[in-house]
Amino acid sequence: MLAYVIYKVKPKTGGLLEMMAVLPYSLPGTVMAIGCMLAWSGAFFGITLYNTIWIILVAYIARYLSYVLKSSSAALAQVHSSLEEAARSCGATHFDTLRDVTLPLIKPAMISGFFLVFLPCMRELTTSILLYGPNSRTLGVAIYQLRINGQIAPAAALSVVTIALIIVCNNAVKLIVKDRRSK
Amino acid sequence: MDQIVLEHVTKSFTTKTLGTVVAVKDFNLSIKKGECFSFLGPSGCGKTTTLRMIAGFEDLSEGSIYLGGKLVSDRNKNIYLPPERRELGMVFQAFAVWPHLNVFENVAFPLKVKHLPSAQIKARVSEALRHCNLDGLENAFPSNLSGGQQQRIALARAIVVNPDVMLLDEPLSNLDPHLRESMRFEIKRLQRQFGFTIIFVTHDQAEAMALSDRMLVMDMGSIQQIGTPQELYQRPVNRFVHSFLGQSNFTDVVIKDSRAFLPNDMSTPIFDSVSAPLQGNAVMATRPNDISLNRTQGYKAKITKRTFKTDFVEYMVNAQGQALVIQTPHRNLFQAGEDCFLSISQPAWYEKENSAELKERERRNTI
Repeated sequence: MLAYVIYKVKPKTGGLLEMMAVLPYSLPGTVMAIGCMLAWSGAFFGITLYNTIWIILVAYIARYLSYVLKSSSAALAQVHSSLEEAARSCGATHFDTLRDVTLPLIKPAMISGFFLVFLPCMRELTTSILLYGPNSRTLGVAIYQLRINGQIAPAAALSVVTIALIIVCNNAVKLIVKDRRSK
Repeated sequence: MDQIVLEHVTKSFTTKTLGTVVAVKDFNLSIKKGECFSFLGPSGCGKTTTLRMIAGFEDLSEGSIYLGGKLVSDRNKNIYLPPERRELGMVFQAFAVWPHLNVFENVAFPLKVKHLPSAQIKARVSEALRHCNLDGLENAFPSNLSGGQQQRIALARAIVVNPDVMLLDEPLSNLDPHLRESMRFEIKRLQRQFGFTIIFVTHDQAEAMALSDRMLVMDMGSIQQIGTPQELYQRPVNRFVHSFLGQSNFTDVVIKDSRAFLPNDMSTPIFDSVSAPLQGNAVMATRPNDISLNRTQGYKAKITKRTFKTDFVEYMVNAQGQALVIQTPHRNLFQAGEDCFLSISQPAWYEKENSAELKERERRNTI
């Protein structure tokens, strides 16, 4: 959505918006995590996300937004503006055009963008280690703790499971993208 | 009745590098119902911008546009109807068929947007496909079809809603020459069948001449001339229109008492009954096939080059240092280096282009 706004609507502050979205990616994970803790411990609107699974989600979104942004903006650039204009001239409103033409055309890129984010999220450690709570341990954190506690065997087992999951997902991405192309 | 009326339409852009550029300047035009009208001009002349303003993809800087008697764009009254509510058919240069939909879905899209019952959609789509010679390809995807077929999908998609006005933005320039010709006939045939008004934007003079009932030639944002193809070819109002339609020779002359001399030779006139009220420096414009060559009478010149073309012979001729191109039939051949005599029929006379005009053209070429 953000990519659509930046690259198609082209607001005057588009450059700033893009920079803000990409910036968290370049920050160290721990800085991100501490920032999230400070921001979401009731500082704004009294919302407290700390110690819940949601704070991890928020941190992940902030960190990996740039991946999705870049992959979907590349796809949007591929959608020739006449394709959208053709829809408008056929009587479709702006919303119809977005739903029936633009989104289906960038769907493959959005799916692969999702996995592009999903995969590093699974093995993420630096941000999550500061944010996890009793009910929200991520895979990366779990493996790390097992390893710290000297439980090498379970840690290794979990790692194998993680790797297997990543391989499966990776192939799933390839399959989806390929399916679209051959059509 | 006038289907499309443009009054004082002006569009200007401001860019960082060039400052303000007036893309379309005080454009006045009315197009009758059922007419096939072409906008002809070089790239960057503002013809596509004008079409996009009619379609509603660009707002105007000034002026107003009426479609079928209804005001659709007016900057001062703050009226701007979005493109989806103007009920036009439009075909783009880049085909603009949707790759994720098959042929049937592409053509059905405008009807689906209107929420018509599916039986009716099916009937109308198959009729549109039949008119565009696409039957049997309903389930094919555009990427597996040729350029001509893709453009026919775009045509079918435009006619399926039965529009009053069709806007065609260089629809043939992405096709190979042979296909272009047959698509041209197809468009004409569809127009006869459905009776819609066509605005056809092109930079190809042959296309415009062959298709249109009336046409206009545009340059640097303003209309140069409006008329039938024949009028424009035979009586171009200025040098630009002359050079844009067909081949032209432009010869610098000095006119004295209705006789035209070449500047280097004031003894013998090259043409002795100038119809235009011009005196002094001027330009004589001729068509290569309106000059005939012979060995006895006329204005003396020298052949510098001879080229055999398929249906005619083309000579380059030097007359007092000025080059002229002449096309004649294959009989009575001259050799390169031989002296010859020219007799010119129906030349057109123009004032010399002033330097401000040249400068503006140069500035626009850098865009």
